[in-house]
Amino acid sequence: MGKIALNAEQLANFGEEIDAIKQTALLQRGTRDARYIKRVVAFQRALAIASRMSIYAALPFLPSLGLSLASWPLFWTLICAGSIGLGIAKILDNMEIGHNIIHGQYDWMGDPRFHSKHYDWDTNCPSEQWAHSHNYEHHTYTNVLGKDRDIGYGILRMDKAQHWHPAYLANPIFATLLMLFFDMGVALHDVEMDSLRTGKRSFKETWPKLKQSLRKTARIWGKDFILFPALAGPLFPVVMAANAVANLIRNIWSFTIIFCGHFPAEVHTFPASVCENETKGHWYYRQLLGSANIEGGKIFHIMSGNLSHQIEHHLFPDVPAHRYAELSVAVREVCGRYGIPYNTGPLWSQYASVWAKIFTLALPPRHTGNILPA
Amino acid sequence: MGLATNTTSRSAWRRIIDTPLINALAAPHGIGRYLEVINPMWSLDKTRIPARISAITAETDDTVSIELSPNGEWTHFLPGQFVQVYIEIDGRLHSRSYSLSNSAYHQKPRITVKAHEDGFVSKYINSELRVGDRISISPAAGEFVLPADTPAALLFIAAGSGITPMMAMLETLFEHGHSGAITLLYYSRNSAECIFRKRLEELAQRHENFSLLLVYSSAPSQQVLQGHFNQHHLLNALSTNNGLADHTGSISLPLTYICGPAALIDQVSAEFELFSQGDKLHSERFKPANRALNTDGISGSIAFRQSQFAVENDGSTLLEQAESAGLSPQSGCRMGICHTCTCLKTSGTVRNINSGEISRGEEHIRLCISQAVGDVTLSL
Repeated sequence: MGKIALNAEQLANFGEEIDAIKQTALLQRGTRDARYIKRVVAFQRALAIASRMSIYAALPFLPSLGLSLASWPLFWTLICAGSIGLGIAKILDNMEIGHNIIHGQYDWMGDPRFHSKHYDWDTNCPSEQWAHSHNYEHHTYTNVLGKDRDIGYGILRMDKAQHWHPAYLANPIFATLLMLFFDMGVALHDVEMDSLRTGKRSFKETWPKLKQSLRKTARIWGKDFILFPALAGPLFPVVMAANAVANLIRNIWSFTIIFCGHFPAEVHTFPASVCENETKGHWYYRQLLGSANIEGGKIFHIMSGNLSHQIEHHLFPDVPAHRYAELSVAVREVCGRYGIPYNTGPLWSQYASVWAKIFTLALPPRHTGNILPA
Repeated sequence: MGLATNTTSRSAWRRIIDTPLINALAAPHGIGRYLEVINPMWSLDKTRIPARISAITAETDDTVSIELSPNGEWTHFLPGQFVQVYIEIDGRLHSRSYSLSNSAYHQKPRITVKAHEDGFVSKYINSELRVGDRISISPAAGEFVLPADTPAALLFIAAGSGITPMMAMLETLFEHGHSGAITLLYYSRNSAECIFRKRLEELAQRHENFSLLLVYSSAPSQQVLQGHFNQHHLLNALSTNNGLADHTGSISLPLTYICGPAALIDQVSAEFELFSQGDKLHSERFKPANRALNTDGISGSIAFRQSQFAVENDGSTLLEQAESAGLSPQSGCRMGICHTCTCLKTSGTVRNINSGEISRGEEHIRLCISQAVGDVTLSL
C-alpha cells in the first residue's frame, strides 16, 4: 500500500496536469461562485428560521394541552418537519457553508461574511481549532499514520497499522458513540484529549483549547437546549427534544459522509517517511489514494458539502466546492491515463465498507501482527 | 463655535433587536446575518454599512458624485473625513477610501470619484454604477477635520480630486453660517477638468467672505494665477484672507488645509516652514500610486504594523521574512492550501507565487505564498 507505481518523471508530469486543472478553476472564480455561496447561505438561514417556527407552530396542536386545536397528526407533521428542517439547516451550515468557507474557498471574495478567518459555524467546535486540525494537519498529512489524527480520531482503530489493544474490541461501540455525539467529537478533536490521557501533554497545555471548546459548546447547546426551549414555557421538553433530534440528524449525517471519504476498504494510508522531501506530484498522488468519492445526485452533493467529491476536495481544498463535480471529469481522465485508481462508489457500499473495517479492526491481527505499509 | 453636524442615532428597532439575548438565539451568526438575508438593507453590520445609490451626478468628463442612502447604522461624519467604500465587482469586494464631499448637515453622504487611468475601481464607479445599486461603506474616519472652534480665517489648497474633502468643509461652513474669511486655492489642468467649478463660483458669488482662486496649470486662461504652485500664489491667496503682514511686519499664516499630490504638499509645506509656521498646515496625501510591477528587481520594505517595525524586502515569501524578522505568525502547510497563515495586508502589492495573481491594496493574503512587490504593510 502506498507504493509508488509511477517513476519520478511520470509523477512530476501528473502533478503538473493536476496543477493545470486547479489553476484553470482558480482563474474562473467570480460572480458565479459568489452568487452560489450567497444563495446557499440565504436558503440555509431561511430554512433555519422556518424550521424553528414550525416546531413552535406544532405546540398548540399537542392534545395533552386540551385546546380545541388538539390533533396528533398536525402536531407530529409540524414538529417532524421542524426537526428535520433544522437538521438539514445545520448540515448545510456545517458542511457546504462552514466547512468550505473555513477552508478559505471564498477568501478571494474579500467579504468577511464568507472569509475563513471570520466565519463561525453552528456547531460546538470553534472554527479556529478546526482550521488547525483539519485544514492543516488532515489536509497536509492526509492518511499519514501518526500525523493525520483523523485516522480513528484518537479513539478508533481504523487502520491495520494501528497497534491493536483489547480496548479496540469496543471499536463498534466507540464508533457508534462518535457518530451520535459527532459534534462533541469534532469539538474535542483539536484539544487532543488522547495526548492528555497518554501523558504526551499536560493538563495545563490542554486547558486553553479545552476551555475554548467548552465555551463554544455552551453557546451552541445553551441556544438549542435552554434558550429556545425556554420560549415554549411549560412545553420546554418538547422543543428541547425537537432540537436534539435536529442535532442528531446532523451528527449522523456528517459522521457518515466524513467516514466514507477516507475509510472505505480501498483507501490507502501512508507511513510518516513519505512526507520527507515529498514532491508536489507525490503529494497529489497521496491525496488521490487517500480519498474516496461517493456517487449521487446534485442535492446529495450539496448536502454532503460536496465532500462526496472527497478526491477533488483533497486535491483542491481551496477551490469553491460546488465546482468539484465539473473538475472530477478532468481528474478522472488524468488518473485513467496514469493508471492511478480513482475510488468511487455509491453511499451504501462505501458506508458498508467503513463499518466492515470498524468491526474487523476491532479484532486482533490474525496472521503476522501489525503490518506497516510498504 | 464648533460645527454642529447632523447626527442621527441608531433607529429604535435596531436597538431593540440587536440585544445579547436575541443574538444568543441566533448564535453563532448573530441576528443581523438572518435579517440581511430577508433584506440586505436590514443588516446590523456596523463596519460595512449597506448603502443604496440615490443619485449620480457627472461633475466633469471623468468625475462623478455618488449620493448614498445608507441604512440606519450610519450616524454622521465630520467634514474632511473619508469612508472606506466596498464594491462588488465580478464576485470580489474591492475597497477604496474616498473623502465625503457634501455638507455634513446632509442626511445622505456623498462621495466624488475621478476615474484614474489605471484605477480599476474608480473607472467602474464612473461607468458602471447606477442609481439603485447597493454598495457598502465604513463609518466615517480620518483626522483631516476642522477644529472644534472654527478660526476666523481659513485657507484651503487643493489640486485635482483633492478638492473633495475641501468641498465638504466649505459646504458645511457655509451652511453653518460661518462668517470668517475663507480662501480656496484650487489647481486643475484646465476649466473642463475643474471639479465643482460651477458650485464653487456660485458659493463665491453668494458669500462675500469666500475668495475663490482657480488655477489652471496647463491651459491659458482669464484667471489671475497661472501654472503650478509658487510663493506668489500663496501670497496672493493670503492677501484675500487678512493673512498678510500685521503691524509688526511679520506674516501670520491662517489655519490651512491642503489635499493633493505629494509634490504639491511638499512645496506648500516648504513655504510654511519658511515662515516657521508648519504647524498651521494640515495635509491629506493621495495614496502613493502602486509601483510598477518589477519581476526581477527586489525592492521596498515590509512593514509589520502591530509590531511597529519594518524590514528590507529580500524577495522571499512574506511568511519567511516575518519569521526571520523574529515574528511568529500562524502558519501551517507552507504551500498555500490550509490558509492558516492568512493575514490582512493593509497596503502594498504582492504576487501569489503559485498563480502569479497580484493583490493590491487592503486584502487578506496567505503569507506563505506571497511575495512582496515593493512596499507592503501587514497587520502583524
